[in-house]
Amino acid sequence: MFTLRPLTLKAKLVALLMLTSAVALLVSSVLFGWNDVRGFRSGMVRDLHTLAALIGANASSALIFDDEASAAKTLASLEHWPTILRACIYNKEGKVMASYSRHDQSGRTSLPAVGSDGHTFTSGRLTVFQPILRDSERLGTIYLEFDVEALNTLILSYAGIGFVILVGALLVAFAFASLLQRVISKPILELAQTARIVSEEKDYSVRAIKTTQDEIGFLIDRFNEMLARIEQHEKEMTEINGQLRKSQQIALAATEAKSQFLATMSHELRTPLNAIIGYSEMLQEEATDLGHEGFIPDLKKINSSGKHLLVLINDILDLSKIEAGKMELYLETFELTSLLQEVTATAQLLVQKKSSKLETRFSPDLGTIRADVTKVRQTLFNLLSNACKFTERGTITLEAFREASNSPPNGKGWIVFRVIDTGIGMTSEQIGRLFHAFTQADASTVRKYGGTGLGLAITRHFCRMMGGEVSVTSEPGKGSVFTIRLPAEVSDPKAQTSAPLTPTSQVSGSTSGTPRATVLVIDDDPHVRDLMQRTLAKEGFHIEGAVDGYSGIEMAKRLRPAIITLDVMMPGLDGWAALTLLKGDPATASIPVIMMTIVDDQHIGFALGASDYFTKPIDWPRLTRALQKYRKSGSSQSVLVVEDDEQMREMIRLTLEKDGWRVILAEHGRRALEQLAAGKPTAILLDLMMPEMDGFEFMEELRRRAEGRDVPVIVITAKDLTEEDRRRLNGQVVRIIQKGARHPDQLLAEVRFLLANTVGGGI
Amino acid sequence: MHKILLVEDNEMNRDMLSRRLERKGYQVVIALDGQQAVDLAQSESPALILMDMSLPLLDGWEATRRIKATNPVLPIIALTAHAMASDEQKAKEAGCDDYDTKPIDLNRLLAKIESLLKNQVPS
Repeated sequence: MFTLRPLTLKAKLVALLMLTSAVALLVSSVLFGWNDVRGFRSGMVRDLHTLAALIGANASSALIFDDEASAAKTLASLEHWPTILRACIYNKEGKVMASYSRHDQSGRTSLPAVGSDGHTFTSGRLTVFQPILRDSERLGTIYLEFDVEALNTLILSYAGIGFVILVGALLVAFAFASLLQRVISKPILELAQTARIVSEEKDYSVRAIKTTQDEIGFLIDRFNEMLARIEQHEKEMTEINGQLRKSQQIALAATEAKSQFLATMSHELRTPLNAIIGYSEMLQEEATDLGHEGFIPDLKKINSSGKHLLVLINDILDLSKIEAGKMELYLETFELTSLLQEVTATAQLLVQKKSSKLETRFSPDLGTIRADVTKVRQTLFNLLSNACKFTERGTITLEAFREASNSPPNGKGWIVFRVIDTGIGMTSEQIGRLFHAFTQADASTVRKYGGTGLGLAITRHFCRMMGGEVSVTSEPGKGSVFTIRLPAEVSDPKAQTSAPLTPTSQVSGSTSGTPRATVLVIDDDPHVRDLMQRTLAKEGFHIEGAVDGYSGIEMAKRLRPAIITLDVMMPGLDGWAALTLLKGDPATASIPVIMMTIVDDQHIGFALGASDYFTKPIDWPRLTRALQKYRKSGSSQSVLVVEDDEQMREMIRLTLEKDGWRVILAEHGRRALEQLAAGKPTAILLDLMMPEMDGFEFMEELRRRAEGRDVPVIVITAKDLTEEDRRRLNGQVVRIIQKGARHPDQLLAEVRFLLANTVGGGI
Repeated sequence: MHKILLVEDNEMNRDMLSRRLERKGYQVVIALDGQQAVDLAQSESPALILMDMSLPLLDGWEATRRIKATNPVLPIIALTAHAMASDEQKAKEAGCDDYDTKPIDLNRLLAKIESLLKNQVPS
C-alpha cells in the first residue's frame, strides 16, 4: 500500500500529461485533415467543372452539326484522364450523342438520363452535369463521372500519418512527462519519506527539505513547523514524565517509609501501653482490696486513657497495613446473629453513656456469612461507635438482612447492615471528606467529639477488601444512615504464589517419623532454588521455595520454617525490605534469616552480619538472654566487649561476669582486633561510635578475617539505628553469604554449616 | 490451690499477670521461654498453662505440641498479641485448649481458666 501510493502519483501525472497531449494532437490532426479533405474536394469539383467546360467547348460544333463521330472523338481524348470513369454528351433533347467509359468500366451499359446541372458525390464517385453553351444558348449537356478513389486514399493516408504522428508524439510526450512529473512529485515524495521516518522511528528532529517556492514548498514549511512543535511537545512531555516518575518514586518511597514507620511505631507503642493498662487495672483491684477507694477514679482515668490510646494505635497500625498492602483476610464461615449480638452488647455501653437507646432489627433468615470475622466486627463497631459519638438522647438502629441476588461477585447474594442514627447529621460536603484517612467530617468535630478520623477509612478499606462497600446518606440535624453491603460469601483474593520446586528429591531416605526442619528459600532465581533444594535435601532438610519477597513472607508466616534464606536482589520487594518485614512481624521475627547476596567485595561493608543490636540504655535481661543463645557447652565462655566509654565497659563487665562469662575488654575497634588474635571469643558486644576505629569498620575488618567470620556480634548503640545503619549491620541476620563470587560448593558448605549451627534449638 | 504455669518472656506482662493471678488465689510458676515451659510442665505438674506464643528459643506453638505429646490432658491457654482468627486456629492446631488475646482482660481470662479447671481436683 505504502509503495503503491507514490507510484500512482507518478502514473497519475504521466497519464494526465499524455492524455492532454493526445487529445490536443487528435483534435488538431482531425481538424487539419478535415480542412485538407475539404480543400481537396472543392479542388476536384473545380477541376471537373473546368474539364467539363473544356470538353463542352470542344464538342459544341459537333452538337451544332449533330456530328456524333466528332463528339465521340472529343470524348475519346478523356483516356488521358485516368480518373474519369465515364463521360457522356447529350444533345438539346437529352439524347446521348456520344459516351465514354474507362477501359475497366465497359461492363456498365446504362447511362444516366440527363439530370439537373451541378455535381453530386455518390458512392465513391463524383458526377457532374454541365450545360454546353454557345452565346448563352444551350446546345446540350455533358456528363462526367469522376473516380474519387484518390480522395479516399488521401483520407486513409491522412489517418495513417495522423496515427503515426500521434504515437510518435505520445512517446515524446511520455518521455517529457516522465521527466517533468518529477518537478511536482519529487518534493511530495520526499515529504512522504520524511513523514515515514518520523512515524516509524519516532524521530521528530528530522526536517523535510524545501526545494520549491510553490504550494508544495508551503506545505513542507508547514509540515516542518508542525514537526518542530511536536518535537518541542515531546521534549516537554519526556521531561514531565521523568519528573512525574521521580515524584512518583519519591511518593511511593515516602508512603512505604511512612507505613513502615507507623507500623514500627505502633508496635513499639503497644508494649509500654500494655503495661500502663495492665498495671492501672491491677492497681484498681489492689486499691479495692486494700480499701483505698479514693485512688480508684484516677486509676480508672489512667486505664481508660490507656485503652483509648490503644484503640488509636491499633487504628493507625491497621491503616498502615492497609496502605502498605499487607492487610490480609482470614475467611471463615460464622453465625451472623451471634456476632451481631456481641457487637450490640459492646455498643450498648457507649449508647447509654449518651443517654440514647439502641434498637436492633435482624431479619430471621440471616444465617451465616463467609468473611473475616474480626474485620466485620470491627467495621460494625466502628459505625456504631461513630453513631454514638454524634447522637445524644436519640435512637441508634442496627439493621441486618439478607439480599438475595444473582449479581456479582458469586451469585450467593449479599448481607446488608444498616446503622441509622438520629444524630447531628452531615452536609454533602462533609460526606465527601468522610472516608478519607485523618479527616473527619469537619475539623471542628475533632475538637468536640475526638477520634482520629481513621475509623471510617478503615471501615471502607475492610469492606472493599471483602468485595463489599459502605455508603452513607445524611441530613444535617436529622441524622445519618450508614449502609454496608458484603457478599454473603467473600471470595479469597489470595492466589497461591509459592513456587513449586523441582521434584528432584522425593523425601529420599529421610529419617521417618521425625519432622524435618524446613528451610524456606526466597529467591527469584530458579537455579538457586533448585541448587538449594538438591543440596539441603540431602542433609535432611525440607525445602520450600518462594519466588519473591511477598510470597516469601506469606509462606514464612504459614510454614514457620526453621530458617530462611533470602536473596538480596529480587524484583519487587527486595531482600532487605523483606527482611525488615520478617523481623517486624512477631510471627516471623524469631526465624533466623540468612541473606544471600551477590554484592561485590567493596559493598560487603554494607552487609556485615550483626546478630542483634541494642540501644542504650540497655535492657540487661534481654542482653543476657541474647548472649545465652551463643553459649556453647564445654568451650571457654568469653565475650569481647568493644566500648569506648569506661563506665559502660565496667557495667557490662560486671553484669556479664555475674552471669559466668569471661569478659575481654577493648576500648576501640583496633584494640579489639588485637585482642581477637589472642583467641576467638564466643560472642562480641560492639559499640558503634568509637574513636580510632568505629563499629562499622571493625565489623568489616572482623568479617574479613578467618577467625572472626562466624563470631556472633551484638551491636550496642546510643542512637537509634537508621535504615542505612541497619543495612550496614544487617540487623538480626545471622550471617551474610556472598553468592556468585565464590564456588557454589563453598557457598553451600557455608549454608550447611550455618544451618547446622542455627537450627539447633529450632525444631 | 491450683498451680498455673505462666510462660511469658516479657518481664512486665509476666509480673502483672502473675501478681493478679496470685491475688485471685492461684499459685503461679514462671517460665521464660518455650524450653523452660516444657521442662516445668514436667517437673512442676501444673494444673493449667498460660502460654505466650512468641517466645525465644522454642516458640509457644512448638512448646505446646511437645507438652501435649507427653501430657495430653493438661489444659493450655494460648495468649497472643495479635488478634487474628488464624492465630486462634494455629493455637488450636498446636493443641491449645483455649485462646485469649493480649492485652489481657482479666475477667475474661479468669472465666476461661475456671471453666478449664472445673473438672480438675485442686492439688
